[in-house]
Amino acid sequence: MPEPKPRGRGGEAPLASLSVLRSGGVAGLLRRRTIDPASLTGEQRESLAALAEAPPPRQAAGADRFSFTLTVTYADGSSREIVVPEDKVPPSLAEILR
Amino acid sequence: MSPASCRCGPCCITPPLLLENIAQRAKRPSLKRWAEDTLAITRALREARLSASAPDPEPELAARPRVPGKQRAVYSARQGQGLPGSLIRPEGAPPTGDAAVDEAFDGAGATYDFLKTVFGRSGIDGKDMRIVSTVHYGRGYDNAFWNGKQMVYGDGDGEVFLRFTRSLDVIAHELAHAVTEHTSGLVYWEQPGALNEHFSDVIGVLVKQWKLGQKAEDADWLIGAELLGPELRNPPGQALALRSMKAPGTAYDDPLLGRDPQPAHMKDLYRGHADSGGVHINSGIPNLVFYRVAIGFGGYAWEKAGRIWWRAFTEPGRMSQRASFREAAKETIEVAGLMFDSRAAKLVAEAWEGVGVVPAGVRRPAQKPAPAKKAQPARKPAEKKPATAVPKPQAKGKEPASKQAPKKATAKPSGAGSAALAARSQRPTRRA
Repeated sequence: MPEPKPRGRGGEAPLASLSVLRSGGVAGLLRRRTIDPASLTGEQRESLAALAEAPPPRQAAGADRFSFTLTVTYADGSSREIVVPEDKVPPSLAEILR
Repeated sequence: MSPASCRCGPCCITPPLLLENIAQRAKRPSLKRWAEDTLAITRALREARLSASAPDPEPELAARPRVPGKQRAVYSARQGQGLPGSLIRPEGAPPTGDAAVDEAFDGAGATYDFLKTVFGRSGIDGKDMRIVSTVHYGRGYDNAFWNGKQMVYGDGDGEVFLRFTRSLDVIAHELAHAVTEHTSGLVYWEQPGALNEHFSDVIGVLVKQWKLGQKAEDADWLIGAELLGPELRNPPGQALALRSMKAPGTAYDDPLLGRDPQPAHMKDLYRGHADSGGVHINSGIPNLVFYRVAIGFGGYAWEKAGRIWWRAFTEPGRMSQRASFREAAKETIEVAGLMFDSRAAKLVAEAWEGVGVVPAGVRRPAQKPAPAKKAQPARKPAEKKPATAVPKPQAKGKEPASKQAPKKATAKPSGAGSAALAARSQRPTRRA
């Protein structure tokens, strides 16, 4: 019997691609980046799955904070968009998002 | 303005669960979009309320009576992200020699003095709240922000951006967010969010011009010009600042930054979800209005245009938390008439018309029937001649500007309409 494919914490298929749009900040610049899912650590994958399962409130307190829109595509073709305000970025993802 | 940010009944009374269902199941894109937008606004309002619980940077001072007058404190995060960090310069302490500390201190002081002298306001909350700033936040951090309780400044990466305390207009911009939080409470999403950003840009440039003793026609009307690092100073790109109030959409066009996305007219309104629904993008539209009004009056921008905007944006009962550009237009036109005269109101009305904003309460002119195909050009540019040449803005956002940028916005605004509105603004109101 074939080994079942590993699935994410929320039951999603494995990650196929991840792109990040950073917006906001006092400059209001839009910065797009693509991150190779193969470069993610286990902890980072866990954090992503947790965000997908329970997205944080979209708005940070105050004004001019950064906001990150993560577009996650899974191996089964499905995709998910998650908006993460700067102050809700998990520590494990801080380095790759900023 | 999207239906979500209007003040109509359904926006306010539709239960969130129902909205979520509509957002998920609606087949008609406009309905789906409306439900998504309304949910976002509701969320933003709830989160704005929650922001009041952000940690107090100086809880030990809370129990002490406030000292009247200018009170500042600058902390250093020492490249970390803990707030407020270590206290470096309290009120009364001499300059430290650390440029970021001293710029944050002096910039907060200039903003306090401006608000007090020009508008008679005692500090950011009107009660001489201590102005707390933290500098050296993070490593190479390319931003400055207001966290709901204090200002925070990064040092920049040193290549693209320099330290964010270098621009007085950026310091005043951040402090103005605090003023907004204590007055109109404009929601940080879509048009109310863009008005929130716009008001901060207005205060930013006014503080700078006031400090320099500059008249409107002599100012550069740029935001953040001093932040640009060496990478942006060289070709092939060109970058002047973060934003240009005089010519939105022209502040930069650079391989590193991309192209300044600010629109200068409602027909190019950004409708995406990024940047909290384009708060730093769509602020270009009211920014251009303010610039044209200031230039139209001439002289010092804070004396007339600034006073009109200040009253319209801070007087209790005027701007609502969910104000649209149309509401801002109505309030500023009305205030111009109350504070000055019908000519002032007409100047403000024409500036809004020039960017395609019809004031709230004014009926949109009906579309004229298509003219017989004579020598008439297919589309006549409708905008009033700007006081300054404004480059044609490029289309932005992921959706075409169709919902909110009615074609009539490009139809020639009628002088009679402006005059009627200006005349009406002369009448005393309950808020006069």
